[in-house]
Amino acid sequence: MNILKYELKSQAVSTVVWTVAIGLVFWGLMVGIYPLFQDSVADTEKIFESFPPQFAAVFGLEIKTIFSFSGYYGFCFGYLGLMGAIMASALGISVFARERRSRCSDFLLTRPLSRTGIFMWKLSACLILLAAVNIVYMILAVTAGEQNDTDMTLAGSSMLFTQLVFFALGTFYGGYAKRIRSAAGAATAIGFGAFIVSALTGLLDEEWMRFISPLKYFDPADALNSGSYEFKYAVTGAAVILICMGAAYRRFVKNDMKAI
Amino acid sequence: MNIFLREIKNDLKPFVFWCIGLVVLVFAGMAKFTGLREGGETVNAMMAAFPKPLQAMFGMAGINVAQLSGYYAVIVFYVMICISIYGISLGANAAGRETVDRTSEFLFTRPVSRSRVLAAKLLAGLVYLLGFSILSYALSAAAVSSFRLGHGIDGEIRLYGLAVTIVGLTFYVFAAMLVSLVRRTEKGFLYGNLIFVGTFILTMIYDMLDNGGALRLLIPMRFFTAPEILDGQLNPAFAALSAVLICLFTVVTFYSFNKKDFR
Repeated sequence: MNILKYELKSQAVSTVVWTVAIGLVFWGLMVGIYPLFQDSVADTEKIFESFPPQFAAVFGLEIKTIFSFSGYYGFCFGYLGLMGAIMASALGISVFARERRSRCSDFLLTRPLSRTGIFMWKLSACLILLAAVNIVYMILAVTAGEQNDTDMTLAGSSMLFTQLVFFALGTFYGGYAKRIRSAAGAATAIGFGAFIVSALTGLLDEEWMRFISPLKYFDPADALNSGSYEFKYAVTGAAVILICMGAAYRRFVKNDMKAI
Repeated sequence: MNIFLREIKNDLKPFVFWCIGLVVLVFAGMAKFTGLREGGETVNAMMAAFPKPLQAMFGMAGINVAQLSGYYAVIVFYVMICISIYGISLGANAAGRETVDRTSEFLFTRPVSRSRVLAAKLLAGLVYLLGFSILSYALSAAAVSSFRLGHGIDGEIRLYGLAVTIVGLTFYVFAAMLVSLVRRTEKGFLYGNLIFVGTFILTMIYDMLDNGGALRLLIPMRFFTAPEILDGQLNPAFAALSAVLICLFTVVTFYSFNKKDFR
């Protein structure tokens, strides 16, 4: 219980800051920029009418999907997911590697509590914090609704699932990295690495690359278009979470801690 | 000299990892261009007609991706992200590594002034930062010629190389400054990264607005925009601004590093 309290307290400020930041960006994109976007779509459609009909037949359909609400939402999620990803992996790294980083593992591990117990308390603290962020996000996501609530809820839960993936990646990294100077630095690198990979996936248009771009495992655009995530990527995401958390748990329980 | 060599040795491994990432990014990115080039004219006409928010959604505000130079501009933006993050980590490490590793007592009791220590460390970081940007320039040139993508963008690649270097340098000294300024070194690492994420989000918003105006002053990654570079120049005002910023940050870094209470 003390561990839970301690971790909640130590991560409270950064969680609040991230929640506010993610909320503001979401709100700005949906309320502030979406009308601009709709105007420009209307303008563009006029331009399309002036193109020859064959041209509109080829590009028109694609344009409709890219410039629809779901297309816009998916685009925004590229950035919101990035923020969520950095937050979640920083959380995993800082909570699970804290003692190793500040060289006080012996202080924590000599308490009358099994390593499994410590791991579970830390894990629950992280899950509570992630839940808190996502409750706020979900409220915003549902109220921004252009579509029915079920779809919007599913699209909103993309944030939760994506954060869980990155939380697992961060925890894994925190357990296995030889030395971590800065949780924020590592998390930024993980987040932007994933962002660049998913950008390349889009640019190169290679289907298989989606398996290695965790920001696209739970794509809200899929949720809005078809009412569900694409199964194979969602399963990949779930597998990443389980494997990374399992490996991190094993490491945490078995690791030979260095004496000072 | 010893400090310099030690730093070079310490930073070698991350440098290798960053370079591997860079190679993959540039080659994978450029390899695809052949596909995009077909049907270039129609795409060309379409893109030019799009309003800015829509262009931004394609990550290509003001760029014509049907041309090699425009397509390269998209790739180079990702290189810019990499060098900024790498620069922040190098800069923060140069000024803060000893504190975080708790070895400052060891280093700062040697008969070398703090300024000299910092200078040696910053210089070592600079070597890697420049190494990274030179490598990205060389790789881009190599990718263009080995995929036979045509010719005539040597000038753009060179300008982009310069832009990437300047942006990387700005973040490099900025991170070093933050770390020397704040009382708790770890916080300096944190702020450096958070500020980068912030400017990155602003970059996206700036691209979507028709007239971003003064916002540009806050976003190093938009100091040199693609349309200007494709016109054949780095914006002189922003080049001057970044030169001033780099000098200012360096001076503040040295000043506050000398005053810092290492804990």
